[in-house]
Amino acid sequence: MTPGVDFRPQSYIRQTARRQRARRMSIAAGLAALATAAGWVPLRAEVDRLDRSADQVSQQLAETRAKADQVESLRTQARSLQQRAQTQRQLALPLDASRLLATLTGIAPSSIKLEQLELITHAPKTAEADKKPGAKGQTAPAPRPHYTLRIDGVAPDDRTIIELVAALSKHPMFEDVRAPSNQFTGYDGLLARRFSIEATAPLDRPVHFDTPAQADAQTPSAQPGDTGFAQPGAQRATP
Amino acid sequence: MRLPERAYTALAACAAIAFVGGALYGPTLWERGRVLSRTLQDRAALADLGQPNLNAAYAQVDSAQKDFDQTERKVTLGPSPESALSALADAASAADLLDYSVATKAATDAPFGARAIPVEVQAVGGFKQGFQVLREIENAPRLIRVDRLTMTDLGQDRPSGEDQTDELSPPRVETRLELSAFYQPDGGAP
Repeated sequence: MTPGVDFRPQSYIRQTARRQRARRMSIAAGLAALATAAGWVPLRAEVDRLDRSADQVSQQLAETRAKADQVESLRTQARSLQQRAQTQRQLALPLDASRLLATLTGIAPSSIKLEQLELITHAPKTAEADKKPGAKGQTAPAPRPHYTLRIDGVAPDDRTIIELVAALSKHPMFEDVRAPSNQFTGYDGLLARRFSIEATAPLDRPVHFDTPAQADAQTPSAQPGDTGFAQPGAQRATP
Repeated sequence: MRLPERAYTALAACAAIAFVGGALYGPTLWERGRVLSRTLQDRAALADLGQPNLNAAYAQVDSAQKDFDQTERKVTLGPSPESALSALADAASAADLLDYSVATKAATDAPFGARAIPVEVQAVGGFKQGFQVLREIENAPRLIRVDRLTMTDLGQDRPSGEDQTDELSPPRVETRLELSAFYQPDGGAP
């Protein structure tokens, strides 16, 4: 086979070669672009998946933070309640003044005429009361909480006064019973004895009433001419 | 210098890859890094928070509430002087006492982080009424402590006139009470 003779002009051949080259380059560039784009699709899908996962984590974090805030709020509420309950227990006295008065009216002889009764509560009144420094800079022990009771009255005779002092001394609610004054006096044209009796009632120990319902319901009677003291035996208390 | 045909084709392909890759992969990879960083931060925060136990917190509040409810008399949150006055008015009403006066003073510090409104009550009536007022105050829902009680016999009213043998009226007793109406300052829980 003999080589053919190309009669095409050189310029035409060069132009054709340039066109072929340009076509090949375009095809190669297009294929490369397609291949690159095809590789990007799964990457984009993975990023979308990661994004959704990140959103879920963010949502979970927000929920957990809200829950943690709620837990903190509940704990604060519980602490406040505990503090109030503790304060109430510490401030409430184990023995009410009305119960002490009811007990007193229960054990006092009915022939006594009450002129004045004074009951003073000795319990810490301020937070600083417990912190007063004692001698040598040491913290003094907190004073023992107690009631002090003072009764001024008139009795028909010594025996009645002794009976009242004995009743108070024997009663577990009272301690340190004293009779600082006892003297003759006139009362409604009769001879009588004017007396003062002092006693303390400790408040640092619980008091249990054997018959609390009766004690609560018991109100001293106040009939004309009555001294204000009820009949004995209305209630008994034990420390 | 003239390059072979294949070299031009390869250069074109590389240029296409660089252009498309830069346009698509750059932002995507940057976004991927950002998402991963956010996830890591959130996971670290989650690990720090742990698992908040709501049930335990509710149980703690229930327990504290039961403990609080067991105390018979309550310390109010805030001064609430009206509740103290209301308790005293109720006590006077229950004792059927009309002749009485109530005075409150400026609040003072009280033990255990509480505060107290000092209240003074003066009432005139029978011994029974004075006792009833005292008992009602000590049974009030609000914690009010009796700091001092003084009961003084004022004698018996005798009817004026010549006839002094009429039935005596009940003895009149003046009852003076110094009270402390306790309250917990708002936000006073340590």
